[in-house]
Amino acid sequence: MDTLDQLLFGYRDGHQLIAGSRSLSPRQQRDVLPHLDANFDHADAQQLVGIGIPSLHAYLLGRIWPAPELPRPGAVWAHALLLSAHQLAHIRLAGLLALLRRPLDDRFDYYSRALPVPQGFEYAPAPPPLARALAWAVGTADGSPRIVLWDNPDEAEGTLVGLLDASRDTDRFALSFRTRERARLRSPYRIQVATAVVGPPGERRDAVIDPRDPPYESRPQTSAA
Amino acid sequence: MRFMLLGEQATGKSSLLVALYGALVNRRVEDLRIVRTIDDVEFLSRGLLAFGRQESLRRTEIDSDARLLVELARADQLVTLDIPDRSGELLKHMLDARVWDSGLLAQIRLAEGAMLFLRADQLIAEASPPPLPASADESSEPFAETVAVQAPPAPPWSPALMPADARAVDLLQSLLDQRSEPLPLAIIISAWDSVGDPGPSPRDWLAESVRLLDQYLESNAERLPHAVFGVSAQGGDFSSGLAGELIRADPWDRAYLVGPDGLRETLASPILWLLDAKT
Repeated sequence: MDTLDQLLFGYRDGHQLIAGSRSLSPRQQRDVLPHLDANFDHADAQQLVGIGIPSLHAYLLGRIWPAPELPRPGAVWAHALLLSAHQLAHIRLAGLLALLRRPLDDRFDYYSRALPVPQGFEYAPAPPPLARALAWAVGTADGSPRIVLWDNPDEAEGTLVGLLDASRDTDRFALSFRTRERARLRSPYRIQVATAVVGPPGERRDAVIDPRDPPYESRPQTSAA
Repeated sequence: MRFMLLGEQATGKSSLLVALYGALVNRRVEDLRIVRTIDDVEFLSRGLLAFGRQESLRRTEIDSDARLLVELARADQLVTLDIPDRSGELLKHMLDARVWDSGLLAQIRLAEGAMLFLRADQLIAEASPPPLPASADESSEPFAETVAVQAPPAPPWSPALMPADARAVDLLQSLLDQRSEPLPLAIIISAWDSVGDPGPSPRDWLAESVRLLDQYLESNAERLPHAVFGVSAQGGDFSSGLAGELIRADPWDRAYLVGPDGLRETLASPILWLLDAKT
């Protein structure tokens, strides 16, 4: 039976690996950490992240939640699945979102063993304007980062993973994304879906797409294509 | 001027930046005045709001790119101050893994001064470990049946087990390996309100409570010219409640700083000291 490795990060004298089905070298842990940490304004928010991690030879698909029950303000939980190149190419990825779970107490047994790959797959598609904007952002020829503005970034989750599913095998590792409250202009992700953008005043913002304001295709970001 | 904040998680780096920003904006520092803010200061404004509600700041996430970037006027001189606020966990992982983070390494090579943060209440707790449980020989029931109790195996040694004192020295040794130039260093003892009032001066407290670091600094004073400050950025412990007169005070008036000799100074004193040390 094919299984997936998993990692759980949380706050214990610092944000760190709490449990996992495999160990990480210090370098690997350093490479993973920035993708599994977040700053939340709202206690009921969550973030989805997908990115290839070369030092792990794996694609990381994870979700991050606030952890207000922990003593340090700003602590978070993050649960991630690690997909090998073979799994990334052959698994229907949409079914994996259901495996991502926030810890409810201090029992972490679930996170300490590899998980069987789910057979079924289903996901909630994004509202059409958002789905069109995401598909356009993924398809831009220059491959440079794009920020898609949307009031509820969680609505993009299913479509982002669906777009990863629909990508050519050879393109999947390079397709990275993150949903978040505030996107950053300088970011390692190809696609960010966020409610707002932060960054130094005056910095170029032509990578920002507002799905409610088409036709975004005519904006200058296509000039490099 | 690029100054670097060095400190592991929860040592008060962001809290000092927030309190300092509040003091500068509200003209609580005679010698320095903000001319303009260059970068986004939303995280500082939000921090001031949190302090106003008597809430501790949220931890800084690992990929944060927040910074205090302002132009200041000091007498007839203009100074651009650039202080990145990086997550303390970056430093913790660097010390644990014995591998420099590339971003921190670049900062260290470019920095014209640094502030090293240690938290007073953590160091006090480390110096007073809980008492060991009574051994079987000291049992109040000498004839009780002896039960073999196997202690859990001690975890293997790792840098993560080093006390804060040794970790600070480890950090400075690694830092000096990366620089040929001297690095002016303001030692910030945060949560200074936990030391007690009246207490020793920050300089005396460091010499008494963080001896290894103090001796290391003294023996490397040419490469690490330094001064020691005590800072309470919150003005007290929010979890146990502030004293009556502090509850009504603004966050920038609640916060206070004690200079190396134990005298009250402004929150900008470490910055002024670093500016003078550099020139």
